[in-house]
Amino acid sequence: MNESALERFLASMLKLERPVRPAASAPTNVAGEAMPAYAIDGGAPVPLTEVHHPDGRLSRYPPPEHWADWVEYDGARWPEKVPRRYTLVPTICFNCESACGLLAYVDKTTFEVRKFEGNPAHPGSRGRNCAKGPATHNQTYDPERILYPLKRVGERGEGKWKRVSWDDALSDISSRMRESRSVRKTGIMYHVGRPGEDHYTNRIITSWGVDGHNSHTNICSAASRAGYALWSGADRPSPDHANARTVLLISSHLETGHYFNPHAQRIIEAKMNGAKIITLDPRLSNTAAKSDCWLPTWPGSESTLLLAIANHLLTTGKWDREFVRRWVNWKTFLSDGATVIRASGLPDARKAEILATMPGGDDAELTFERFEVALKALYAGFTFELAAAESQVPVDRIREAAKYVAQAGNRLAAHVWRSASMGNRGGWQVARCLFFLNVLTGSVGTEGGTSLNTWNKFVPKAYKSPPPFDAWNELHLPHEYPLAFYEMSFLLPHFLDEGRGDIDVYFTRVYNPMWINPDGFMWMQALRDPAKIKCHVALTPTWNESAWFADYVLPMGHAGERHDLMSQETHSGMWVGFRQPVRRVAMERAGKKVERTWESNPGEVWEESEFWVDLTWKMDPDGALGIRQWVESIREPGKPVSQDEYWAWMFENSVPGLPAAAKAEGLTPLAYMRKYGCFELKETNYLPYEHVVAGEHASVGPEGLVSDASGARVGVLVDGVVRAGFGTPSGKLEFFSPTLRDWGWPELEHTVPWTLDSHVHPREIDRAKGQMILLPNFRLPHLIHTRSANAKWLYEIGHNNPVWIHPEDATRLGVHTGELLRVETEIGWFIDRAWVTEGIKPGMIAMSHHLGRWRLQEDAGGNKGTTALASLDEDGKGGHTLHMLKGAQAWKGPDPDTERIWWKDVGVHQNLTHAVQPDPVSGAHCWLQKALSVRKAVAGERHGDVFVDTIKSRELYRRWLALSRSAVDHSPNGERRPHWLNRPLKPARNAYKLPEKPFGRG
Amino acid sequence: MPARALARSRAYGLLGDLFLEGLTVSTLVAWRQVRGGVLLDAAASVDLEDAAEAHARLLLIGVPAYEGAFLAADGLLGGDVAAAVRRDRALAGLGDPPGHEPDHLGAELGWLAFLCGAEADARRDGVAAERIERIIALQRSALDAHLLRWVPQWSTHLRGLPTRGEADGVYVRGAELALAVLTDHRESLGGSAPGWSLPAPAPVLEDPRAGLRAIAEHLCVPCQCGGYLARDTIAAAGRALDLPMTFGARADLVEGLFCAAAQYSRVPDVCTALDALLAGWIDAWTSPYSAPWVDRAAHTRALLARVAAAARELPP
Repeated sequence: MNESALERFLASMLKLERPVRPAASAPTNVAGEAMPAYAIDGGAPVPLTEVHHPDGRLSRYPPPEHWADWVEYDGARWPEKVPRRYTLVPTICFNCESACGLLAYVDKTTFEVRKFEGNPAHPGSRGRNCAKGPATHNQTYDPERILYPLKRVGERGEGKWKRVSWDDALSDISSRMRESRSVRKTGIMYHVGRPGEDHYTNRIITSWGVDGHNSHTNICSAASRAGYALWSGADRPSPDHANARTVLLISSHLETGHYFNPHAQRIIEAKMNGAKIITLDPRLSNTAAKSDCWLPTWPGSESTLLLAIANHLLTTGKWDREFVRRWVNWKTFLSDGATVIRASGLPDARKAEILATMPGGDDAELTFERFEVALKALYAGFTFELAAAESQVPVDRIREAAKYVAQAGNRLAAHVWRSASMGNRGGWQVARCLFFLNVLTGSVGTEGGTSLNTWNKFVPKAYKSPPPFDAWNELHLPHEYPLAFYEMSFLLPHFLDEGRGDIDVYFTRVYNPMWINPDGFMWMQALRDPAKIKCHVALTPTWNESAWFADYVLPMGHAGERHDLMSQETHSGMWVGFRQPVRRVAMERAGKKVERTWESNPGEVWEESEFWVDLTWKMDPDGALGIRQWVESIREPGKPVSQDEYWAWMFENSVPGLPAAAKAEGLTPLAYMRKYGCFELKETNYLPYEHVVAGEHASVGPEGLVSDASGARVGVLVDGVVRAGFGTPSGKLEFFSPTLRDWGWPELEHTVPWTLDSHVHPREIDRAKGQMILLPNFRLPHLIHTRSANAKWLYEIGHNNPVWIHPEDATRLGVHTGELLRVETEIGWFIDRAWVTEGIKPGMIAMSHHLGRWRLQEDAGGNKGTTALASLDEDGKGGHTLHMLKGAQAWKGPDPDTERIWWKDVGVHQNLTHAVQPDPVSGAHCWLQKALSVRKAVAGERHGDVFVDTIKSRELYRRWLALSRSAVDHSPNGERRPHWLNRPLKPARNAYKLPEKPFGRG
Repeated sequence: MPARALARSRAYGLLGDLFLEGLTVSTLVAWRQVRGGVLLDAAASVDLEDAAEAHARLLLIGVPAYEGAFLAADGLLGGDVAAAVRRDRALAGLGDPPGHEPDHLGAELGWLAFLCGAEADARRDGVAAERIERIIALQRSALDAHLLRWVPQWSTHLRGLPTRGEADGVYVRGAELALAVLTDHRESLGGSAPGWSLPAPAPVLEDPRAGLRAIAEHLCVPCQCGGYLARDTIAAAGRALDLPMTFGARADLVEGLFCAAAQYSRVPDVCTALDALLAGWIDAWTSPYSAPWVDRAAHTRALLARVAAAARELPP
């Protein structure tokens, strides 16, 4: 610009009619991607920690060195820039078993939690969370949550409560426990739901000296656990998905898997690195949709298909012969298997071929070459064509899956958790057949293979441990189920109903048995009966249908309100995580004294860890029962142990490597865990069974098990070297199970990986009569089994569970999407809407299991936006009806979000209509239901209505009970159960003796 | 001289509004009253939607019109640089502009409008000379310590952006006009330009772990690089070399450009293209206030030369 132009411009300014200055406004936000980034006024900007994830994504997190004092603009005040100061406190998510890391942003002024985000220091979740993690905030500030201890005032289920102090509740409950414990060791029962924690409560229960642990596992994973344990001694697989060449899943792992978030992110990493994914699922799950090979198998055919792949590996030579030779108990099969083969239903020619390999008692002739011949002959009948016919899957797709397994080499990552294992009678064999592929490919504990949970999970020891209790509660593990992998918890109301016992004090902990278990009306009858359950204490963060029938409802904290220790086998490493009451930690960082965690939580919400200490102390105030010592402080004898002392001892003495890591940062181990919320013990832990071990060799068993003079296991002799081996009785992988043979299940189809007929085998489902299979054991990934109903954010994503039905079946029934269907099971029926989709196999219907929550009062017992108002009716002849009166609704409360409930349908409570179906071996509930009829609803049948005939419930229970084989008839040693099999809490050996008067035996 | 001060005050105010809010109904009326069509003709038809889009594209996304974007050691807004502007404004009794950062160009021009208006009022009212001197000292400080340290660079980079329509020209011409008024204003105050320096350059290549990401981030911080690499400028460099471009933040773009070049053994070509850009900047900046920028751009040219030489030594 030249000078004259400038002069003209300035001159014109003097003649300007100055316009009114326009009102200021915020700069236009154009797509956001290039908006300049802001630092913080008056402070040095802090570069965020960048994490480049293996799948190529990038996340940014506040660096840990700034967690104690972190400043962010208040998003709610945008476009104003109002800085807020936070202290960031790590904790562990409480919304599933994965135990992902969370980072709570606690306002340093108000001590309110602003939000929960991912903890980048957590080795399992690596800073990433699913929708359930951030929703912890929604749960914490749920306007309907229980904030104070409540005691029942009217009759059970009447819905009348009064607020009591923690001290009053502790005094009453502890006195009942003291009374019970002084007369018997089976009167107190703790029924744990999910998520769990590692060790703390189990230690407390053990200290009470009672057989008091009951769990949900037999409706969850017991069948899979049984299958893996019978093979290896460890009860869970730990696939190294991230490094696999082939990922083989019998589940909807990417959406609901175990462990969903940590596994899903690693499965996708593997896929991005070229791995193939195979999924067996009759439903087109998100996982199936992401798979290279989807095998929509008819339920119960999974074992056949897996064995066809095994046969393919054997016949094509694509198996790891050397691994099998070194690590499988093939000698036992050759030496002991002849009887099994002779009694089997194999064709005579094949029997002869196999028997020819079995030399009898001459050890020298027990050669691997013979086993190889036997093995190939044994599985020769499992052809692709047989698998295709059984599974109703095209044969070429099975061949394709076999090809992917074969090309995996020793990098086959495989997993089954619920799905087919928990769906079918005999489902435990699905796990055995699946792990058989790991064994054949040598991908056991390898990089990219499948490890066992004990190699990747770590549970430290507490400062002192009570001895095993000398008691056996027949309500947990009755003599009919000697191999039940976990307590027969879902049969409890039937056991009580037929007079097997009663309970003095019954704790349900984050557990809603009436809603989540099958046959819920039987539960309701039990929960209502004060003669059967004398005192029911519901420890729960939120209202639920079972708590409604309790005597005490005691509010326990969510992820940011409690101390727990967690470790899970999420990948090839090993870590421990520390769940913390984040407001308490924040207050203590600010120098405020907190005596009990409930002082820092909303209302008087407490945590179990402190609750158990105080309860146990009050149960044995003078130490006369010998119980109090286990919760007594070491630093201050005569006082209860504090949480700080408890965890400080553990982190200082029982977590290898943690003290050194803490010291490097100038911290105590406890301060380190409070700062980071987790510690990685091992980055990888491959092939631990190969570790060479030293020790005395007093004796060597037939498979090489080496013991010392005291009989304690040293290791396993393999090719002249003693190695760590596996946790089975032989120390080897037990292809042939002497345990099953000796405990009443000696048939071929039980002793080796084989197929078992499911209760929903095609022969059992008369499709010509309109019978179908109801598949209820899947869920949507953003929901929690029974506890989503306190999180509006989660329900907003998905809140109903329509009946998936194939177009062929829909046409046959004349039903369209959105129309009502009446589904009749063997004990009742329910009404739900149809969703017509090709995503389910013809002949089946499917329905996710976690929806259909209800409450009995307008303003109590559940959240109005996530539960339906319902009524219950009884006909006096065993018939129970649940009527849905009103669906979800918006309402005005302290949280304005409750006014934005836009849905009404919150699903249908189908589990009420499921009969109990205990697998006779594993004890697991077999979730797949026979749908006797499926038809369009008629006038008067309303969405959500449920009817159950509990007379039929009892019939079905007895029919399934009759399939069991009692230890009374089959125990080889006069004990109730093989001692080597784990229990959550293992009693003293003396308690294993069979009862003198077994129930039902006169 | 009250007239000159008043003229400057109004000029700064009008320009400040233009950069803060873009061309709006009210500023359009004012600009049409300016003789000579210095920004736009009196009869020119202007689509205000286009003008708003151009304002966001050029001044927010293209080359952010913030002092902090140029002078802060990390190139982030709202940090120490903005705080310093806030403090200096407060010395004159001026608070934050509502809804805006104090170091936005429009806000800084508004600050000068305030100071020049105060000078005009003082001269008109015949107040004591020392009070007028104090007001002028504040003007000098605003010019020397803030605006003239970065507006010439910002203006150069704005001019270098591709134009997409008539409305773009309003802001480009406005930038030239603002720089001319600032320069004239400073000359009228007398005295030489004080020396100043940019934050010390990070020794990015001295760290053996430094990869392309570190180099890209270095180049995207103006006071480290010696100028502002706009998104369009980076994309144009990629297109000229026929290299595929990625998307994301500017550092992602530069890193992507280098990565793509590495795949095709063309890292030296990228360095050459960037070097030509820097050379052009150096040629454009002749004022003594720009000396630190010239030095920094020369430093970066040397850095690019080292990168190019290292790349040439790599096996194909």
